Amino acid sequence: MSTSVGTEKLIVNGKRLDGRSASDLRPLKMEVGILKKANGSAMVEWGKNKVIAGVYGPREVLPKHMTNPHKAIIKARYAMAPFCSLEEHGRMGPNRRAHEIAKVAKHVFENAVLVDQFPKTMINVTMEVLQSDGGTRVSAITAASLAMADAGIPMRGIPCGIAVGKIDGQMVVDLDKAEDNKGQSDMPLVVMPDTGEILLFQMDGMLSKDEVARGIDLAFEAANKVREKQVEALKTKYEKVELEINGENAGGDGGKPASEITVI
Amino acid sequence: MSKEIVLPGTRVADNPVRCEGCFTEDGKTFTSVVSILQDGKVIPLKGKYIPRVGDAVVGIVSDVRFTSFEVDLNSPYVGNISTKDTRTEFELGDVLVAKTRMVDEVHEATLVEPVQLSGGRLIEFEPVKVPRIIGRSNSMLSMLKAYSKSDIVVGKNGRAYIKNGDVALAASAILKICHEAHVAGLTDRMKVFLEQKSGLSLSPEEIAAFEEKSELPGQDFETRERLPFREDRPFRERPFGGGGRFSDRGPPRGDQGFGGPRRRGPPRDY
Repeated sequence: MSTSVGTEKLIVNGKRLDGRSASDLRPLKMEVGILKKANGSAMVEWGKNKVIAGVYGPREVLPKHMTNPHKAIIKARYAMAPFCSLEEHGRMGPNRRAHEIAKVAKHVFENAVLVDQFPKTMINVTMEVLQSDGGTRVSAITAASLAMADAGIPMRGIPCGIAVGKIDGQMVVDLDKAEDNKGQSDMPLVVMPDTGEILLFQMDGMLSKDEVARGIDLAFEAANKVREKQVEALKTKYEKVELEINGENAGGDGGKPASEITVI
Repeated sequence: MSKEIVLPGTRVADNPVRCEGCFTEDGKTFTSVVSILQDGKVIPLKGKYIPRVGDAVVGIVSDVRFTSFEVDLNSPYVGNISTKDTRTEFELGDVLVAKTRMVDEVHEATLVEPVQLSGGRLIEFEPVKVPRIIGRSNSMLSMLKAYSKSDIVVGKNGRAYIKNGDVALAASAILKICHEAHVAGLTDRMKVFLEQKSGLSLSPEEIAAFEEKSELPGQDFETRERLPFREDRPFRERPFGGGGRFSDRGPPRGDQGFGGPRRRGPPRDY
């Protein structure tokens, strides 16, 4: 294939390497409330990616000189675990890439959170990548959005991360690591499906104007699927309690025993 | 009765409405936090406490200053008690219940009528669940008090102070309410729970009649004796210590400019 950077083909008979079509996502699993000490938390398993996000705040700003008397400031941290991948980008410690992703995540939440409701505070959001297979920044921001919603931080909507890109001359969604590295272009987006806003737009490689437009259409289409999972995860947390209780009531037990309730 | 869980960004009204957990944009109202939408009312399921005027709050003294005490309110914002408004000399870590008299534009609260709490247990929970713990016209709280025989004071900021009686029962009951508040039939479940755990069976009349002399201040602050402060204080010709305009040391420095050496006139005879 003349347009491919590498020698192998990434799309064979209209199917991608893992058998997906251009608009298919990898299997997606989300859960909220996994960290008890955080105000809000979430885990996202997106294909082979696995990300944990925690949100702490709003709370007093430290260091104090960063206080903004008009709005809350957001501090983001993105980190990859040293064991998250077999390749070099999973190395330990803060690096250029981690700083960049933390910065763009911060801007996403500055535009999604109603920061003016909490003057003189900060909101810490931390994203830890435990396992990576391409598209970790969108997985991380998707997890962080869930954690924000779980923490009860007022937002205009829930951001959804989604990556699109060009492989073998064709626009596809949700690139995995092989497609990301060997493909021609990669365009991570964070969108708000409710309002149709784009909160993050990055691109690596070359795309024509039409390809970008096509990519954005694909991203919004896929973001609706991501959103469905986010809604499900957030609702499940509360519906689980309801199920527990109604199950107990059916047995005539009448409530959870006090021994099972943790007292601070 | 319709009841559903709604997520941030859900449109709940086509006109601008001011309510908790909502924001307005283009003349429409949307939810901003995960909430329950019940009969057109939005009840947030989570969120931090923001001080509001007139709230009873349970605080922990976090700083002792020359003329004020700083109080941690289980919130991003702190409260302050002026030493003018209390005769208690609080120490770092003291627990108190107070009332918010004033909240400024950055949500910092001025607290009044502080009463120190001691000898009990402090628990923390989600501030948004406070209305469920108190119940309609205090029903849930009086049930808790009657069954556990405890004195309980619930702060709007998601803290409760429990003293005497079966403290563990009261504490676990409060945490159970927080855990299950969004599921229908809470009052009945709590009644069963409290009956099982305490071994008592009280009729609604007995619960209503349970008016024990509480050591702790009431929820509404009406039962308490008001401490004299500000205008209630007897007029004093000259306050304690210091200079100021009542002093016989002459006018305060402020009358001659802000601080600095006095340049005009002969040196005063002190």
